[in-house]
Amino acid sequence: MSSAKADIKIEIKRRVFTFRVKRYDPKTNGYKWSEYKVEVTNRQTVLDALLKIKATQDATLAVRYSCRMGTCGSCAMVINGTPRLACETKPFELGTDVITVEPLSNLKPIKDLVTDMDDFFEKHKSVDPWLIRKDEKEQFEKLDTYYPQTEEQLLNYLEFSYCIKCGACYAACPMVFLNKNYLGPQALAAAYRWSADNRDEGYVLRLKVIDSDNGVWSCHYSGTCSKVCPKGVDPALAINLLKKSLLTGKPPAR
Amino acid sequence: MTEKLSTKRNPPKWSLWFKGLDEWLLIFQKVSGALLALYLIGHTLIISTALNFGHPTPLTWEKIIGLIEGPQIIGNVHVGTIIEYLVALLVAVHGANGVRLILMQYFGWGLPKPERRTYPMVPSPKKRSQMAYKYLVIIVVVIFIVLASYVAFIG
Repeated sequence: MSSAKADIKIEIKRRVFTFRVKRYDPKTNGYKWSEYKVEVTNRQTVLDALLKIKATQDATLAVRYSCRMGTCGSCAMVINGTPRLACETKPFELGTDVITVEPLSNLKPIKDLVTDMDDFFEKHKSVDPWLIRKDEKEQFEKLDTYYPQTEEQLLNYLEFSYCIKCGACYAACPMVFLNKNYLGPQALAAAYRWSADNRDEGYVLRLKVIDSDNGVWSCHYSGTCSKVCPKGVDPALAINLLKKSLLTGKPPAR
Repeated sequence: MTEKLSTKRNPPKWSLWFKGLDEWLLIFQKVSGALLALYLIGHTLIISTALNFGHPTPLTWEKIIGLIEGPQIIGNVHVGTIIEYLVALLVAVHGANGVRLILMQYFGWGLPKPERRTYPMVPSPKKRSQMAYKYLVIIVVVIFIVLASYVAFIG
């Protein structure tokens, strides 16, 4: 055991990166670029670098973060042109010496890299992303047994349940840019996730939101949402499956 | 909060959309659709005018169509040849990609089944069946361009 441990050699590399940060200033209602040079190791992330900048160079830099491990979805930002989680992106793996960091697109800015997620969460809420039963009281008052679910039924929606609501897909979607009322990939993936759950009976209720101009029919399938999702949720697949359900009149496989 | 917050959303990253095949297919689909809609309106107006709005005479037809499509550019290539060629290309792009979307979204052909995630995670637009669709669209369009170019400019 001890010899096995001794064999593990962790190589720490250090390099100075230039971070170009696009900052929104609420006082002037405009953007400005700030540049910082920071030394980071190959085991540190962009979020670590931003926090180091905040601690040692510029305390006014506003960044939102929470868990620092890709679970909470707070630190999504546009890094080198692509929406990513700052806590899961290592400067060493980006392959550039100058790293640009910008707030998420398609969302209103609050300060610097912090964006207002209200619209995003409202859209998420609009698809009723929870378990709906025909008998509303059943699950709270008279549930005798748990709702059974097989492995196969679980796999129908499992992939889509990993969403952490970071907003990366929403920021990457060209159709959200063109139609600001479009629900966006996240909300529609959530709609599919619950509708494809065999314990749920609310697909028909969600239809009025999903089957509308601002629902799935605003999606023109660029697939960018699925390509940028840091959790591999694949909202484009969920939207296509929803379209298939609507066009064939068959509810999602459950 | 006393500070004024922006009512505008953060601008998009255009570069993100210009590096993927799916995104380009979307752009082509939208642009070709818009151009074909415009063409349809223009086509209807011109043909109606050329047919003298329900009272056709050979003279009006020759005059209107001759005026718009007649001017020679080079050899046997006229303005009309270029218009027809471009319309055929737009139809090829819009049609081939449209068939892909209909087959996939209506019939579900090529859509993967949701599965347990395993690393490395491959998003559905990059899975083999969907890539095959997209390459097929490109092949169909290229063949069409070659044939249309032959018919329009050489044959």
